Amino acid sequence: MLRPVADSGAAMEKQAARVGARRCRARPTNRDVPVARGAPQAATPTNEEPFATISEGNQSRMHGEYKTPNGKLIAVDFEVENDKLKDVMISGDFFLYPEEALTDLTDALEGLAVELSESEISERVRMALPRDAELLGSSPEAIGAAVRRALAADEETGDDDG
Amino acid sequence: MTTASGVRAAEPTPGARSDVERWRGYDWRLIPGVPRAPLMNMALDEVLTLRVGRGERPPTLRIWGWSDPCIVLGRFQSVRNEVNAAAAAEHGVEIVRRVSGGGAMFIEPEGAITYSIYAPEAMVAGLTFPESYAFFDAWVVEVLRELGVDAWYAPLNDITSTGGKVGGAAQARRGGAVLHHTTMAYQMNIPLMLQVLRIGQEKLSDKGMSSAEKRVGPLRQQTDLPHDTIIARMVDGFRSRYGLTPDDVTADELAAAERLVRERFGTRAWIHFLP
Repeated sequence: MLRPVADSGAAMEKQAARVGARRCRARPTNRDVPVARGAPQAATPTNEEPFATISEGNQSRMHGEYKTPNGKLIAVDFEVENDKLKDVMISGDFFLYPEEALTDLTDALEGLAVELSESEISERVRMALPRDAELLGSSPEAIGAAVRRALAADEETGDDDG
Repeated sequence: MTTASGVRAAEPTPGARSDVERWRGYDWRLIPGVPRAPLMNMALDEVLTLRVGRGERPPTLRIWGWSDPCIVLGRFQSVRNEVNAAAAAEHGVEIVRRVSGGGAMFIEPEGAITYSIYAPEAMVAGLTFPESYAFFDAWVVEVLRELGVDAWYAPLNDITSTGGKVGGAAQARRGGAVLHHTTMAYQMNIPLMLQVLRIGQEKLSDKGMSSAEKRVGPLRQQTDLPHDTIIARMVDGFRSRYGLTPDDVTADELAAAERLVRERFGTRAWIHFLP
């Protein structure tokens, strides 16, 4: 079960993450690629942010993102070696207290087997978050989703279906 | 607890009264805006927060001045995910990383209004993190409304208005103190911003106008007041509510900040900590 959260905002976000559409914001990772207009993305109505997934690997780097509805974006970048995550980087515009807990989150993903399900990944991350740490605007579930998006996108040649 | 003079016209709700009281009882200091290098602004935040936490400095409001355009990355952001480094270099836009989380900002010196509040953590005891964000900016929202901007606070950390997003806040906590800083857009150079920041594809519409452009509501579009006048009114608003004594960065604090620029904020290890 989810660990208790101090604020209803995060609880609502987790609820939305479970129930609602999971969205991922497309971000080019190759910095020489200009931001393209009219890219083949599904148009969505105004109050919704249109989302599509682009996971580009630079060489073997995989990239996945998840934006928590009404929250922040979290991204994971990693390589896969021997079916395990390697050289993991977690980044995004979330808030995290204490800041050093980022290492705990990253360590939770390092060496993770790629066969794990999204919820298994999320559980690993949640267990690694220190008891008094707080991740604002994102969640272990968001991290799990971002990892699976990165892996899924790499398995396909086209866009992931968000 | 009864207040002294300057009682508000409207009777605050019990929750609001306790929020107002949290600000009282401190000797709030004002550090006025002086153009500083982006790296110094980063380092000063760290120095002043620690000093307030140690009781070496009273709680302080610092207005920022910017000497140069820059991109300020949030603590946990990846450089390559957020920045077009080649474009930034080409336009002389420096990349710096702040101590607090949150998103990337593209700053031009007269285009932004930025301030920091350095407060003892005791001031927000009992508030959740999200509550503390709204708490620290409530006064600014009120001042904006007094200036005729239909502004309000949107969780987690946005100052927004009917004209669009005005600004955003970020926080860091260390040594028993809270750093809460906020940047508001006065005017935005959207074309340059789009060149140097990687705005997610979903923010572009097929009409060729960025919906990021539609979503922001720079203050210049919502009031005729000049940049410095808005700041003056903000300072007046803070002073009338909580008191303010003129102050400045001490020579010792400046030296400590310069050292931190050399040892940390100006290093590749810090700026590209998440490449």
